[in-house]
Amino acid sequence: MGLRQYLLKRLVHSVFVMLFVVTVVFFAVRSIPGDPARLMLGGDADPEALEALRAELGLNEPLYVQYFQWLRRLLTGDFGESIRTGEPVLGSLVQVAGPTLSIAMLGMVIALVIAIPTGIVSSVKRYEIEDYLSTTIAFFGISMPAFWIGIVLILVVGVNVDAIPTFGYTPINEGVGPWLRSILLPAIAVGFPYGGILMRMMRSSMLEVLNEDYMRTARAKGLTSNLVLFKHGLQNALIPVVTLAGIFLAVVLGGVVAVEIVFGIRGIGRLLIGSINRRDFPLIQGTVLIVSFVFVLANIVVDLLYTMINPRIKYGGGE
Amino acid sequence: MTVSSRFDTDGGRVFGLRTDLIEQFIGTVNRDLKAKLGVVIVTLFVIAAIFAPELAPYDPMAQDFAPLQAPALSSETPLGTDSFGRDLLSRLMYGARISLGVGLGAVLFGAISGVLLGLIAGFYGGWIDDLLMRGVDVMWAFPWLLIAIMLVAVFGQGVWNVIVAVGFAYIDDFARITRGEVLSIREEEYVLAAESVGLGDLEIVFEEVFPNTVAPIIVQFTVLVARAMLAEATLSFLGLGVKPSTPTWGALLGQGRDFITTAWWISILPGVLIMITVLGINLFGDALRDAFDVREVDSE
Amino acid sequence: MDDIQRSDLEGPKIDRRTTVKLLGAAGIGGTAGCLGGGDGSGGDGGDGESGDDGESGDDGESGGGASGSRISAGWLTDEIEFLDPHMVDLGIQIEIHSNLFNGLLKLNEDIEIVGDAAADWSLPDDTTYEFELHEGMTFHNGDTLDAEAVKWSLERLAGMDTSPHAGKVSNVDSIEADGLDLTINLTEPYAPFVSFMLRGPGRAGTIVHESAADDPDEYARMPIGSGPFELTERTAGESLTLDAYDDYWETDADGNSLPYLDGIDIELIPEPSTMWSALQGGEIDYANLLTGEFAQQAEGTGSLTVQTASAGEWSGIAPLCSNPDDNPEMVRWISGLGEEPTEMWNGEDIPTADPRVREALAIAIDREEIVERAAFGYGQPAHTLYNPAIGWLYNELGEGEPDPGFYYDPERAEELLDEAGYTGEPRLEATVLALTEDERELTVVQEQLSEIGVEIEIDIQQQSSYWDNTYRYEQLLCAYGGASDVDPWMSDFKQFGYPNEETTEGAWQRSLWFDEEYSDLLAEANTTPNLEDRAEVYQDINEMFVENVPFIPTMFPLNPKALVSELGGVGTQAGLSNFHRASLDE
Repeated sequence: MGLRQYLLKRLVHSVFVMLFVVTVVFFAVRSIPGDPARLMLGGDADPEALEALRAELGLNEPLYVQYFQWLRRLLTGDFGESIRTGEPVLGSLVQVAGPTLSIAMLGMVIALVIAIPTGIVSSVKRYEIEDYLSTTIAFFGISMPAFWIGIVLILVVGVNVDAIPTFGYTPINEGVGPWLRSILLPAIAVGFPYGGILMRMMRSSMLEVLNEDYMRTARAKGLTSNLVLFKHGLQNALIPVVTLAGIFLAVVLGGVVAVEIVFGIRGIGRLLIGSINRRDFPLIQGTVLIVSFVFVLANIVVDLLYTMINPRIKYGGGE
Repeated sequence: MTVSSRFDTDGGRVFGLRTDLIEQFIGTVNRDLKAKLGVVIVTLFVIAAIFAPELAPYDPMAQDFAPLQAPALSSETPLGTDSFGRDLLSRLMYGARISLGVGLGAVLFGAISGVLLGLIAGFYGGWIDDLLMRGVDVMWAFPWLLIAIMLVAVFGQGVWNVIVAVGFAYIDDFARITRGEVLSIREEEYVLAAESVGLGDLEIVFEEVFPNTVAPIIVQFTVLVARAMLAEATLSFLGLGVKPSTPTWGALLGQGRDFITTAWWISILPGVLIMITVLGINLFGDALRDAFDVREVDSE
Repeated sequence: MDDIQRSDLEGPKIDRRTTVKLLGAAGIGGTAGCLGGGDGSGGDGGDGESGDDGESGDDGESGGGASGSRISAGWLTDEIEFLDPHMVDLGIQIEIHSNLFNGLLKLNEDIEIVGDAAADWSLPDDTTYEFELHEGMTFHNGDTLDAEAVKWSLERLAGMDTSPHAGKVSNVDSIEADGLDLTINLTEPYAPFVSFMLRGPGRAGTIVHESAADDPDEYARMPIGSGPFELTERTAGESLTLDAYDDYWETDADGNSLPYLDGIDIELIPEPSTMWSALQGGEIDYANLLTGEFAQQAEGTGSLTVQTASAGEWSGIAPLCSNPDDNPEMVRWISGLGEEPTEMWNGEDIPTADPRVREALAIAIDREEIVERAAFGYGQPAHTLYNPAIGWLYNELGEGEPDPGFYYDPERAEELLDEAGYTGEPRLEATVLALTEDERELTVVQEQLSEIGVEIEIDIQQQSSYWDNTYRYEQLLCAYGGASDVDPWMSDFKQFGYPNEETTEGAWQRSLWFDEEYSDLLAEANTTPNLEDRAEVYQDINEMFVENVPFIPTMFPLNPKALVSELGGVGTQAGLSNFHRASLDE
């Protein structure tokens, strides 16, 4: 199967995967107990008022009618409006994407900054003190929940360093400095565990590359060790690391929710939790759709990269 | 994702695991300090968890002491008390049971479902493979947090929800690894040979294919137990975990957050325990990985 | 006599501290004077001292009179859905719109009812209310606020079918507006009516601008009010910007126009710990609510002031008193779920249907310990149903020590369970449905009940599931509470009255305790506008309540608010956060 064909096939698959996910979500969230009308009017609303609001929100229509209405609007790019605030869903998503992406990106940078040098050092100086030190740090990184790192950071840094806020997010258009300061601690909390994973990756793939035949040949040819290391070794060793980076999105979305809560930042994780708690159906659907889109896309990219570096597996993964 | 393994294919088996692997593992533990440390930590915590009722000094529920007592070795409550005046040491010991139990349970759930899916997909290939793996894609794209929230909405908080919600996210890991392994050995001589002598599908899968996929699965299992414990902590922290007043490390940590500046021990101590345990399990997993010579292609 | 004369001038006072004195001085005290029909004269209730000043006796406003400034305030919520006062039901929203709107009446710092938009008011007879409005009041868009505007607002509410408060004006017969004079005729005497006319907790009497009819959704988002602040900007889920309304009519005692502050930037902060770090880090100057653990910490700092006030809040546990399937029609109406009531209790033992069991649970609870352990002292033990924000009743029933009431007596509790035949080990097992915020309280209750051999399992649910499940009656116990209850109408008529679709009596029945005699007493109290007489009826109601235990009250929370010490003059009437007279020391 050629690359183009494979890509096409995967894309078609992906559309179905996403459709399936949102369909499941559509019916699942409506089947769990909880009534958005009751939440909006307060627990003590009288039955008549509830009924009237439900009718107004279109919640009394049969489920399949609601489903197709939603789907039809979706095809025109319309995600609908939040039940709770009446704001367009897409607008809310764009609004929360900023903080989450900022944290994810900076977290990623932090992770790479930790992982690549330590990974290289510990592979080159295998079984020396540098190696033990780096691996220990990596082990600690992957052994702590991200949100707990956040709590400790607040306790240690936030309370003592006035310049670094312990809560909230400052958009980048209010200044790069304040923006960076506002996402620094959450990004460390998210990035540190991920840096641990990456560092271990980096180390083992460097070790593998260092033992490859062409590396030995290069060294035998008399090229200086450092040059070899960077030109050939690093380049090849980075491939699986980059592959793994794609998966970072999944890591972020899993861990970032609690981190967002710890730092009081309204990001996509908190939006998701809040919308489910509030049974804000259009908002839940929109968020899940976007999140699953990112997951699926990352999956395709990862599979592609993986197939490229590991020719043993053919496109499409058949026999 | 595949984790490739290279080892000989002969030798005896214990529970489907070839004895030479066990020997290799013991060898690694003897050689490697890290591995020893891992084994010691894991054993210690498992003992603490199993014998919590015998070892804990007090009833973990009893609100018998003054709230927010700082840790002091000389006092009745050496690790201090929580905000209700419950003994923290006892709660941490009982917490080990749930935290470890949930970690194991969740991964077991994910492993059983995932391995079955992966075996079937890899062995049969074709449209079955396509269908199952696209199903796995869906699971992968499905935010596991959403599952946790929905389970709690329907069934309320509880240990089983956490196990299912956390374990669900690991099905795809196991399915992919197993399938990859199956694909890579599917065409090996001994499988083909088994087919040619007319063994049934089930027999081939469980007698010939599965045992040869075991090593990477065990490695993945250990890695994920560590991660599941972190996930349990996160869920409990978000209020999506076990029932209130059930002691788990994650829940204790979450409850302590509000007292971080006045009573740091309530959230720092369980956090440290989580860290040490997860560290131990990871070291243990690493030792297994080395012993089985499984290349690390780690994935979420 | 000073106090009493002033009360006379300001209309009926529901005075927390001097009720007895006032009631004793029948005919002079506001209660008797106005509601009883006495001379019916009012006076100038709108003098600057009457309402929204902060800590009583603190003359802090003088410093801030001239200089303006903005403050940043944290609000403990993730979203403010509605600010249309006729839709709002949650305290967290009421606290904001109390700064954006005027009501006909309001509560002052002593939980007395005084005039707000009404300068003067009287009752020529038991069913007629005459209000004389202040001059020169305008809405934020410049429109005049006169009797006609108030009439429009009340009639709008009466015609709304989605408002939870429409029922509060259902017995308004007619409204006449003439310039600044407003006359409201009721179909029958209705005592809670005054409470409904309050700004804030009364909900119904808050004056809505007619633009609400043009685009209700937009109005709920960015309402036009007449209060000291106008809402100029908001970002969903994040922040609200309140700017001082320059033409606000109210002035302080020295004639300076209110408010002093230039504006308030409200940040929505859903997490108590985030609120606390924001306050500590100086990112906010004010927190509308701190949980007990942080309030305690705040008191330990030198730079923060903690204010507490009853927001008309009460909490407790509703026991299931009857099988839902025994009264399917009533249960179907109450639940509003459109479902048949559960049949799970058919043929099953419902232990809490036995009043002895309910009493046992009620007296096995040590309320003082709950206040200490669960609320860090920020609460008052609830020995019966009526909360401190209903000052006249709370005081009349014996302030903090009502007689009769529920008092801790575990031995008697065990005897009662023995009598009822629950002698096993454990004696009883029950699940209690609850919300996250009940967790601390129930953790203490759980331990206390286990002392008498009753094991309860706490089932914490998300708010949305909680409300549905509450009305499915599948748990024996349900943690329940109310807030912003400034009239017993809300605490008992709606909760424990005999269900009646017409009057919405009993619409919030969680206990499924149906008693027509109790309902008759409630009706009698509701048609007794004279507070002294009404309080007397309530003696009987309270006796019936304690005897039958349709509800197990536990605590009246006192919601702590925290502010930086430079900020003064924030009013906490009935748990609100009124910035009318707030100012910053330079």
